[in-house]
Amino acid sequence: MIPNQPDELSRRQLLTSLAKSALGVSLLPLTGPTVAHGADFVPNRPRAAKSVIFLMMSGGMSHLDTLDVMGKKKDVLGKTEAISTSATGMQLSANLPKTAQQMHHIALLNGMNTTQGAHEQGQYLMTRSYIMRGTIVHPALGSWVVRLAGKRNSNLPGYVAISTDPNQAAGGFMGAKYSGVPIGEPGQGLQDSMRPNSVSEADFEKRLKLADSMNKQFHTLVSNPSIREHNNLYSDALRLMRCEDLKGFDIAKEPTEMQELYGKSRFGQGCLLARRLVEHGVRFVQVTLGGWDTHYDNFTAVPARAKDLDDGLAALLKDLHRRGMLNDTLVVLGTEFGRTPEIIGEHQDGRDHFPQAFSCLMAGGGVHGGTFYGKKDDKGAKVVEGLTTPQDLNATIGYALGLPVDQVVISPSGRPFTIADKGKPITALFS
Amino acid sequence: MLRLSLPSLFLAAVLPAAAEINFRTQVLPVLGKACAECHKAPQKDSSGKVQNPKGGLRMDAPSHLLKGGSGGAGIEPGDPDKSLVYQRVLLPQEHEDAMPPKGKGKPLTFAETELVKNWILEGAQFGDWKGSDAATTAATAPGSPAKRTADPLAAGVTEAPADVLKKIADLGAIVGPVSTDSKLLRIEFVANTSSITDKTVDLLKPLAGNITDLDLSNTKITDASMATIGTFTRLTRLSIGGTSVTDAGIASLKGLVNLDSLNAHSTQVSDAALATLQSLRKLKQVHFWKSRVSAEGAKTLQKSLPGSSVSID
Repeated sequence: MIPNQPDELSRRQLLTSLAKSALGVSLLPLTGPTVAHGADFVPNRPRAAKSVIFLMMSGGMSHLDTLDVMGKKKDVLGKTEAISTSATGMQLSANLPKTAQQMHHIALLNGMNTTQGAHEQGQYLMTRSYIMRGTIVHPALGSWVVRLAGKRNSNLPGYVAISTDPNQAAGGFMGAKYSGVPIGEPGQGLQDSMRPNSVSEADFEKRLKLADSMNKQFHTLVSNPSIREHNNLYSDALRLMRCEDLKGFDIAKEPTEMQELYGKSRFGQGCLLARRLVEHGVRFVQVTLGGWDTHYDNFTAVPARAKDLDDGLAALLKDLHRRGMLNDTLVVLGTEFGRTPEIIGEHQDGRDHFPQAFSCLMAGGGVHGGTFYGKKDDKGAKVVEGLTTPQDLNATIGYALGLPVDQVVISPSGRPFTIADKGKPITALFS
Repeated sequence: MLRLSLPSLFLAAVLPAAAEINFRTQVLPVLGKACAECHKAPQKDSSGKVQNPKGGLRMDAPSHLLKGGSGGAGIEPGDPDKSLVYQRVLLPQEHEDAMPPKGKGKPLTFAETELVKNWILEGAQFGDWKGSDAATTAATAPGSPAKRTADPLAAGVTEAPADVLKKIADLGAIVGPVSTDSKLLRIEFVANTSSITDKTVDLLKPLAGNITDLDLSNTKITDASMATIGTFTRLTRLSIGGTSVTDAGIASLKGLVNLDSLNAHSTQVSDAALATLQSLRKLKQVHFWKSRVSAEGAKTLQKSLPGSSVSID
């Protein structure tokens, strides 16, 4: 049993989220007639990426101890050392040795800057493109992607959120049907999606018929869209239950050496599940890794977190590449903000929140690897080139997928929203 | 007489209008006169310099008015207090944020500001007015057709028969143009892959001249399908990973001179297939992980195809 980091999901939160999904709330008619099937979606650029795997580093990942060590001063790096990578002239932190070997696939975004210095607000802006407000919940990025691009596999949900706070994957004003289907433990897959052994297929069929015959009379008497929608939900659940694609959720079907390649951590197994789901046509998968809030003892805490990240991310890139899926799959690593260049001695060498400058990365999905976009000063304290906001990052994700990033969706309250607010895509990252 | 008219005047002010305010005939003329000159789509002036809308606010379409500019929402339906357009026209002329700014136009009259307020209170309905909304998406979308050069492969492509497309989509496949301006097709079989067989590929024959991107990974196709696929002359990307395709199947691809990417991971394909692939001069990306192609073989193929990447891991 690995103890939970303070910002990871508790068992209680997990159960709540699973209860929601088991009750069908998030599996709601994603396939309903209101949702465009992927077949109707035409990307606005050729060879656009087809799916996204978004790795969310929750807690505020220290950029100086992970992605942005190049040309940085010794006093801000502290105990962290730089190593060379598979891309000539590019360096990464020694905390990410396996990722360094995949650098030829990766573009670092070293000019990240956000306006939000608190976790919840920062994560909200990163994953939803808008400032958190009391009056509205903006849809999560995955909800936007499924809304604009539809599903690739009509049997499966379009958006799956692994080890992620279900609130962060909420469809907001787009409603439950666009919310991410939560998966707590990657190894357990989709809960309650199998017929119990105690009920035979024949009995199950009988029960469905019985329920159907009882419902029929009611349906002829009362005709209401929400009842029909609920009915659709049942048929969708049945279809999912019986379709072969359900095995996309089952990482036990992966050979042992594959499970070991990704690392045994929850995050590593989450990355393995993400690859499996994308292979089965899920459009957007988020995997969250918490524990990056290293106010105290940064130089012990970061290497521990970075190990899980390194195993999972490096395996994911390698595996997607050899399956020929990397060009079609955009992998994004995001976090809400960076951490201070100053090392705080009285906190056992900790680092505090730092929204002014941080780093993210993109790989695959048509992104040029072995490059970087944006630059900080030699202290890692200020963006001096290629300033990139969370909205710009999200616009870039939309661009990679060939989505109309300026397509307005009007909320039920009559307000217009877009996938990336006023963000501008970094088109220079693509061929 | 006076006693009667006062209460009715009062009522008229509180309950603005029994009939809804019409945006196009009543509000638009007011806003058009006072605001439109500075709050419109970016334009080039006579010197060729781009003039952006002031304060980032455009008022030439409902979406722009609702979205607002750098200061926030232009119009918040039902809430004049949060609608910056209304707030700014209310400010005294000396105020630095007052609209229209001094010298740029006459301040709105009380009747006009009340009209705007009441229209917002009624829910800010734009009626049939779309302004520039219809045109904006196409014009500003990144990579929009106008900015791209013509694809030589697209020359002479005919429209794909709709009934065939529907038949394939009904099998759970993704079928559609590769991008918005193209008649070339991408076809992806992701759902129900175990029910996709050589018979399914037979259905694609009428689309032989349209298909440019085909994903048949993990399906049940055999070398028989490869003979059909070999006639898809505009094919640039082919994925057959995880299928039972063999060297004989690859040999059927020798006429696919446009092929630039081949994914044959987890197949029985071996070094014997490489001669065929060497003749496909546009090949740039080949994946052979878990196939029977040797490291030597992959290296030789990569060398013979300039600028290519042939990977076995």
